[in-house]
Amino acid sequence: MLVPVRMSRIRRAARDGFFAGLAASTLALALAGCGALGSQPMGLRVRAKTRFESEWHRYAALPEAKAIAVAGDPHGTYVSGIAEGEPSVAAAAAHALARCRERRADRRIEAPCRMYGVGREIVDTRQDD
Amino acid sequence: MAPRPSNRTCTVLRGCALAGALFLVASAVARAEGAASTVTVSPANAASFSLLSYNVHGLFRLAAKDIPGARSHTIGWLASRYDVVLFQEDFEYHRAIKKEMRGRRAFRGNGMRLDPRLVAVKALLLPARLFVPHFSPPYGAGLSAFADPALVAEPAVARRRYKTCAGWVRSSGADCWASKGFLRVRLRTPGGAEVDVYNTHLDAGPSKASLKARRRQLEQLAAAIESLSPGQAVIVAGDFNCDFSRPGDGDALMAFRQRTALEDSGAGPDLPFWRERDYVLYRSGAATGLSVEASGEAVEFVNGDRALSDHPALFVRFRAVPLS
Repeated sequence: MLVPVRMSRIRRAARDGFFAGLAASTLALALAGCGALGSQPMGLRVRAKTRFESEWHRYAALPEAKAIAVAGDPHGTYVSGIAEGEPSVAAAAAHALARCRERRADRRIEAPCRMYGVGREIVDTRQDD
Repeated sequence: MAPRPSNRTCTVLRGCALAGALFLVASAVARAEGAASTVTVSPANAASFSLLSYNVHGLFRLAAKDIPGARSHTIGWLASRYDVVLFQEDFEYHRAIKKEMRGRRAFRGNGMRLDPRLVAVKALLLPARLFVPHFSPPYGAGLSAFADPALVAEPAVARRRYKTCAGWVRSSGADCWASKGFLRVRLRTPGGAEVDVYNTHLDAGPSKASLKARRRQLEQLAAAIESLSPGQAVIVAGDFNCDFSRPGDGDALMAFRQRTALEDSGAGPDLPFWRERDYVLYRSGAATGLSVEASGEAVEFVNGDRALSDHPALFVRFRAVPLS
């Protein structure tokens, strides 16, 4: 008779422990959820880096001969065209301009495409606003 | 019963957050008023309707790295002003968004594929759903479409999942944990112009395998458009994860556009911090002429240095004319 009594106690203790754990974790989740909701402003913080900065960073790692052309304002609405691994700088520039023109028509950007970078050099002489 | 932190205190706080957000976006809403209004029909049976495409980043909280539940209500409230709305990644928050999209017909994309790995993980994580609200990975397509019931034509829906995916770990995009695909909804304007609207989300990830997967998914989508919408006016929108400036991506997207004769609507990110991954493409059909009246970024979804998602919301106002 002793053994069944012990087993039932163990079972009861295990059950109580499980429900206590369940209640504690539920409470912790609820508090964490509500606390964070109250303290954190809604929404996601936007990226600090602009799209053009990311694009230029990626461009820098591309193999020669390469070129990048842009239309519009690189700090606002713009499109770009990138060519890489071309046989010559002239071919890269022509290819980049062609790609830029294609995207310029897509996004209905009025400003013309201009060379921004050839190889590792920035050739854009336009003063950005 | 599943215990959830959405108790009364939570509801009050969420309500406060929602009210605050609504107040802050009110001015932006007023600016975008021209883009989102009700369907208008001219005497020549031409009709204008607005369309919104938005990746809402509706993952579970730990992966989303914020509190998606709070912003989902605001997203739904703001999006309900558009005639046709296409969401991507509404995985965990479809219901929250739907609740705010009153008077709209809702359609969902494909569910999770029956991959043994996904089924096993789903079963293993099932107990966690009792304790953690909005936690149900692995996922289906995460696509949904909402439309003005007056615009929906029958049979409205077709949905398919993509046959390929690339990556199980975060560094390679982890796209195989979802079952990405496309969702097609057929619209008919009061003037009788029919348009097939496709919502899609392609693989992310910068690896060569991801690029290959995107290319195959675009091929599958193009084949589906050819079989489901031959000669039809078509709109294809969503998160393509294709960056024109990324080697290979631009070419893949252009090949898809050439095969399907789709043009870019001009909708794209106007704010400088967004990456260009989302597009709204369109074409006219034999019986319907489709043109763009206005397009751009729906900036009411951004407030200062905070946004309601990690993607821009794109809008287009289309004009559809029956040609026969």
